Amino acid sequence: MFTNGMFFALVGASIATALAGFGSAKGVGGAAQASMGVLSEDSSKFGKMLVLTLLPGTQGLYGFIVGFLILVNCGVLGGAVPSIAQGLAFLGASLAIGIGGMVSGFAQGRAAVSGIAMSAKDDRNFSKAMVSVTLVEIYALLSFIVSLLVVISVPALKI
Amino acid sequence: MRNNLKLFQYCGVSTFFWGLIFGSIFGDAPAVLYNYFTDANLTMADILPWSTLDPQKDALLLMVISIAFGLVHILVGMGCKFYICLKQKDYGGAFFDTGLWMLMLVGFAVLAVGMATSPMILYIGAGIAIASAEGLVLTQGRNKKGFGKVIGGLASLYDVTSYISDLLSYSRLLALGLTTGVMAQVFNMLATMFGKGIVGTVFMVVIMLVGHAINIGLNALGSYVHTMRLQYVEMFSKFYEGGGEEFEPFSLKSKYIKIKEDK
Repeated sequence: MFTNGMFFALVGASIATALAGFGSAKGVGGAAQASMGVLSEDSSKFGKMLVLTLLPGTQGLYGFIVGFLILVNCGVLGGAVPSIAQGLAFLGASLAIGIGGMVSGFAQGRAAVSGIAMSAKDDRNFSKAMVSVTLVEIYALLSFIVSLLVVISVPALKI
Repeated sequence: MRNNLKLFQYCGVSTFFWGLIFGSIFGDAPAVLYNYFTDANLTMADILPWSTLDPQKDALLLMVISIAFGLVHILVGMGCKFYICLKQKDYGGAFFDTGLWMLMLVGFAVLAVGMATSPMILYIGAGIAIASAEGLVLTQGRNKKGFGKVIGGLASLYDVTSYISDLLSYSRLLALGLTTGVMAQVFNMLATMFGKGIVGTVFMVVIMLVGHAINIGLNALGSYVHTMRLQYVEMFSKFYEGGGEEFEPFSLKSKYIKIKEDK
């Protein structure tokens, strides 16, 4: 029924982009809700609230990049049509950033909400909030690296 | 904010330097732009006249380099502890606690170098590591009584796992370095996808500007947060003792009166 791995590769691209975007959307949405609560009391803090709200957004970007690289390597935007094994390899690689990005997006969103609350209470704590929220991002970064290294080297594998 | 921007400035100098080593100036922007306008097929390695280290091809070598940086960083931290112990006249702590562990880490490093080069260096490294391990077993129990001396000495060897986890934590340097280059390359790919007409060129300029601005903004924060975490958690834990409360001078808190200053 399947003569080539195109379907699996495209499912992989969708999983990478959609799940990571899901995590980021929930994270940034929660942080945006908290920041709007703060801004309703004191709208001069908008710049700082904006920075903290945007911090959980990186997971979606990483998922998009992995999805885009899969598309570039599987014939949709260039490259050769993958064999079945290569398509399954793309599918497997996309799980890393999909699941890792999704869950770390949720976690970073909750951290950003707490950071917004802390920075609203006392403005001197803003940089501490920023640093603490950024610490969560390393795990999304590590999932991205694993997905990336596989996606880059799959077209050269003879499977 | 001004201090933040100064910090980003200094980090930018280091980024520029490492970009030249990795052969990555805004990703592969010079090669991509040249190929876009002249239909050539160059890569960055062709353009730059020195040999570059591509993170995507040599990821393992880059991980070894990151862990080597980590080893130097941790040895500096332990050197600080050594100096502090000497100043407090705790010679046992200086030479037996810190000095022997430093010797063991150096032994492991020589062993790793020997695995890649010649067996002679491997034997020297193994010899140093085993000698320092024996020294630790003999001296780490010196504050306990009776049979506890032996147990204390043997159990202290278990600390090697915490040193190994500290060293491996430096592989996040590999992760950060790899990501920025790849994101820049993907933005360049996106920018040149629209063809070569007027509309295509306009799109290319806009996407390159916006994409690289996003990349710089995202990674400016990450550039100092993760290295700061390495400094505070891995290096400072070797010698630093924090604590204390922030000094807040007396100030006037007026509840019913507002005092305005005439400037």
